[in-house]
Amino acid sequence: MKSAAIAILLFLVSFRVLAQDPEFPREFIMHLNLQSGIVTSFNNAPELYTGGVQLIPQYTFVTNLMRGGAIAEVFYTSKNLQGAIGPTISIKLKTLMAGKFGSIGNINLSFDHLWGTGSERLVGGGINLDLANKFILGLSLQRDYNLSTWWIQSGLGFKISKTKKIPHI
Amino acid sequence: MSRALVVSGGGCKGAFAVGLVKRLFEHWPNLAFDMYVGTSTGSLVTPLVAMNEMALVEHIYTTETTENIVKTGRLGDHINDVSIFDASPLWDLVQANYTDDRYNALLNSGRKVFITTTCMQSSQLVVFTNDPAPANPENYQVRTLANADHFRRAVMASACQPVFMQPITVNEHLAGDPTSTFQFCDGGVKQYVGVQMAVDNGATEIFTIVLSPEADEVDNEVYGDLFTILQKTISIFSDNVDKDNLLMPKKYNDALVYIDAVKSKMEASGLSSDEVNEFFNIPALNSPYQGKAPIKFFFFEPVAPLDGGPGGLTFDPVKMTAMVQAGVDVANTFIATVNPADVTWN
Repeated sequence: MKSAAIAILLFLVSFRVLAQDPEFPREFIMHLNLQSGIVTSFNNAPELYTGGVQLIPQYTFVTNLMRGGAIAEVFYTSKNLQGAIGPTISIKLKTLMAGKFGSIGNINLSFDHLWGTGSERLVGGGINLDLANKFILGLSLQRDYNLSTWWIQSGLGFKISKTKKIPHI
Repeated sequence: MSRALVVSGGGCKGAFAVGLVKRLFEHWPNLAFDMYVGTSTGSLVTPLVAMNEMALVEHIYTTETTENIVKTGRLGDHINDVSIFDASPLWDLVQANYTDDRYNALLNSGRKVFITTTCMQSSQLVVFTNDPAPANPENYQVRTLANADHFRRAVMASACQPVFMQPITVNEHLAGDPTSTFQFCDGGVKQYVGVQMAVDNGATEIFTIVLSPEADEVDNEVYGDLFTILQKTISIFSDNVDKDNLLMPKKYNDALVYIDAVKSKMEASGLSSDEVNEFFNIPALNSPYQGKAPIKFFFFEPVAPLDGGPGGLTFDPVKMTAMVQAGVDVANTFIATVNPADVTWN
């Protein structure tokens, strides 16, 4: 089973490299993400607003497929300003091509685990639309398995790391 | 007698020129050229032909893929950049094959190579050559190459279609050069084929290879996005430049042929050759026809459009191998139909 999974992964990786996919190249990338949403228990308890700012540095360790890094977050909820930190990975689902001229973006899934300063333990993920390697629109769902709540948020991210220029010759 | 080989631009369609020249050399082993003029892909082909590297140039034009020429990227990254594609793979190819040794062998051979580029800053056609004393024309600039690196950069600039591939600072490594920051790109922007350069430098026989048929190509393709429309526009622009470029030398040569015929008629009526020439000697006029003999033109073009995508930027080894064969076929037709009296190289 394990060897079959490795074989499938290797096949996916080789296919993506051969296809000259411009998305998820091997690089360091950092996003500033604005989050907004609700914290709910899906019961009679009132839903709480949450909003925050995330800093997400990542490095692509499987070209055209997967990058990983960390999330450092400052967020507001329950009338408190709090912080959270934890690991994250993004897996590219689809490259949005612009004919033979390259790509205009990608759709990716993200998975993360965050430890919050208010005893939150968030695990979950989201789906993201990366446009022009400049903006990310996302929807995320996370489960706080310590406080038994669900966090449903939308996000708008901006790439803040330096864009690699066409080499000068 | 000075014989020139002129090859136009056309991206991967340079394979057609490779097949054609290869076949001509096979049939006429004594065929040799004194000067080589290349524009864009022609500037990649002609120096290797001048270096007697036919096998190498054929290998390049039958094996390289688009990925080995340009890298595609994320369009959003390149909105504020110098080009849509990154031509670094082509630069690697140029550096690997247009070596110092080959450049020095070219210098020692005495063969002259002319590489056409367009300067972004001066908007002028700039021709780089290994000729230490080239003609000094009025309507374009000529620069003598300083070294092998300068040569490679000129070849690269000539091959780089603006917007799609980055412009090249050809003179960047020339210490103290006032144009060291000037950017150069495809000579085809200003001049698609370099026939005029061959004429200006004294060629009396010119083999001209253009990489698209004289009739406008009908491709029945629907251009559905900005970028294909842009690339097609550049192609159309290049083709129009092509026709204009060929028109001038043809008209010039028509005049030479006419003057030659008049001279023959005058001699037939009883005038001596000296007397005839005296009629055409008008010192007050700086005549471009003074002392010039008609040029023998051999013109080659594909019978049908070569399939290489707009601008010839789709490098497909299978299609390029077919283009080589198309060149061989056109050469065979020429070999079968050329007037034996015109064959001065046998």
